[in-house]
Amino acid sequence: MSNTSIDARGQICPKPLIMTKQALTASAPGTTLSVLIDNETSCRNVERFLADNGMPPTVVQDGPLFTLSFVKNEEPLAAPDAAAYCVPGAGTYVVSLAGDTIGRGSPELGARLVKGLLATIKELSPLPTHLILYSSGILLAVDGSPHVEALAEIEQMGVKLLICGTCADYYEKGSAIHVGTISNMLDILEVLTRAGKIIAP
Amino acid sequence: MTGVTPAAPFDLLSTVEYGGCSAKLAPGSLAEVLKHLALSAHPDLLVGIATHDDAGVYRVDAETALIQTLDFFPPVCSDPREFGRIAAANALSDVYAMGGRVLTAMNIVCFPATQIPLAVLGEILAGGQEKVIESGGVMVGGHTIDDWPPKYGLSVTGVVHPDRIITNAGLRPGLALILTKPLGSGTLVAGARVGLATGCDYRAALATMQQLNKNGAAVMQAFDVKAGTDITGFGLLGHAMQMADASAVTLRIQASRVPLLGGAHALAEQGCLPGAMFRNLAYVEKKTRFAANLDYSLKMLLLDPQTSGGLCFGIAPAKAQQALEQLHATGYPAATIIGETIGRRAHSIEVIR
Repeated sequence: MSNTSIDARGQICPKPLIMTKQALTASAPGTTLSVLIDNETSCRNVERFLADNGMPPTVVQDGPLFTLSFVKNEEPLAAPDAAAYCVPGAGTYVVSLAGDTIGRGSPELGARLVKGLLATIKELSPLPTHLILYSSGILLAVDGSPHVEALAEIEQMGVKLLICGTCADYYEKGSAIHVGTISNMLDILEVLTRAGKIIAP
Repeated sequence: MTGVTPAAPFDLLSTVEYGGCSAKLAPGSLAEVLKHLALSAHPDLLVGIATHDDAGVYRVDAETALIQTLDFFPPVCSDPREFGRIAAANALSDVYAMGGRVLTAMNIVCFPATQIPLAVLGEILAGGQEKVIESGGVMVGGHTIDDWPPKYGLSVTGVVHPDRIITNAGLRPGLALILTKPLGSGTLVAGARVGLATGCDYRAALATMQQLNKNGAAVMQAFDVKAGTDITGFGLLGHAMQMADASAVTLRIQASRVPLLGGAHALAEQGCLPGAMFRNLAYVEKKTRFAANLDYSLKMLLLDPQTSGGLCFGIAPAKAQQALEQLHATGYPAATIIGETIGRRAHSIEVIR
């Protein structure tokens, strides 16, 4: 694989970063790049930029001179938190709740089932990656709901709790959501498409 | 006539590496120092430094509170007249961010006695004077120090009714968030310095920095807004975090709705990210939840250090549309709703796409 060096000595901020980005754009994946910088702040900023974009560099300091070395990744400048996404398939699953009750029987029974479900999720191994609440399901997460505590526990165990923002707005509960992250259709669909299985009781 | 050819206009940018609010001390460093100082307390001190507000507010009597603020910085542009206007608009903005009107202003000047033609100082002061007159205030004096590089700004005194003060701390859940000016001036200034910004985009950035927040403040008061700030060196998210923390709410900002100056995103894509963005990122990231797969350049632009940036305030959703129409009609065509306030979460800010 080829090597590219960038000499950004004597360049004012943000020129070293611009030169780094230019070189990245012009290089093939797998290329080893090294950047010479003689300004510590610039060095830290370029380092952070590369780390955010999935290419954390090794930094060698020699007196006032910094050399940052890194390999251009396959998916150049991927989103910084792409790694937080689960890999499709193999054992992962998402629980999706579209109502504040389960089933079409009596509402009282449906509410009991929800309570049971939330209590049981905590016992599951592995845990679901996400719990998604939409339609009237969002009402489980609002201030005063008897389920808030169980949801908070599930969230604390590492399950991402996503609340449909459009639904929260529809029920005018946007400011009353007590747990979870308000999300949107695109994020929710992405989670669903990446899930190995979707459980919708 | 002497026949001497006039010298080329003096380029103020040749004097500085960092300019404008980018020259601010890092917010974390400032907090580190300030936490060792006892906060002043007085029954008539209505707004002090505890809530990171834009200006101090002191009640003189039941009808009048005094707003005091100052701001000054090294050049952000080449032309001295424009620099004077921008520095003055930026300093005056702190009065507007508190919902007040300007009474008086004083010049703060650092200028080298010999290295720069004195006429350049004359132009800077004339630019500042223009903006003070436009604000309806009176220029009452100033102070000059022999110093390099040059710096300019104002100390400003304004007034507001004690019941009409607009602070960082007045947000409550369920409000719409309006931003009056587009972001990106820091990036465009940096881009111009390295020869990447197009002239047209750069001119637009200079124009927005010279624009007063006077009419924006009038709209805030007309719609009974209680909480707002102006966006300056800490970037949208830095100032948003200060408001969220002071008000004990969480701000949800939709990145795709935030207005940007033309060319700013393209510059960010080229790696033109001013160093202050990284400083601001370090300032907010522990208390901010960024959406997965948020566009990196857009994320960084939310942290772009602004000089004389727009107002950001919370308003009842039912009034937001009408307020926007007034903002559009009074000189802020880019004003838009960028998010909302929600009940306090673990994070101060949520950035969604």
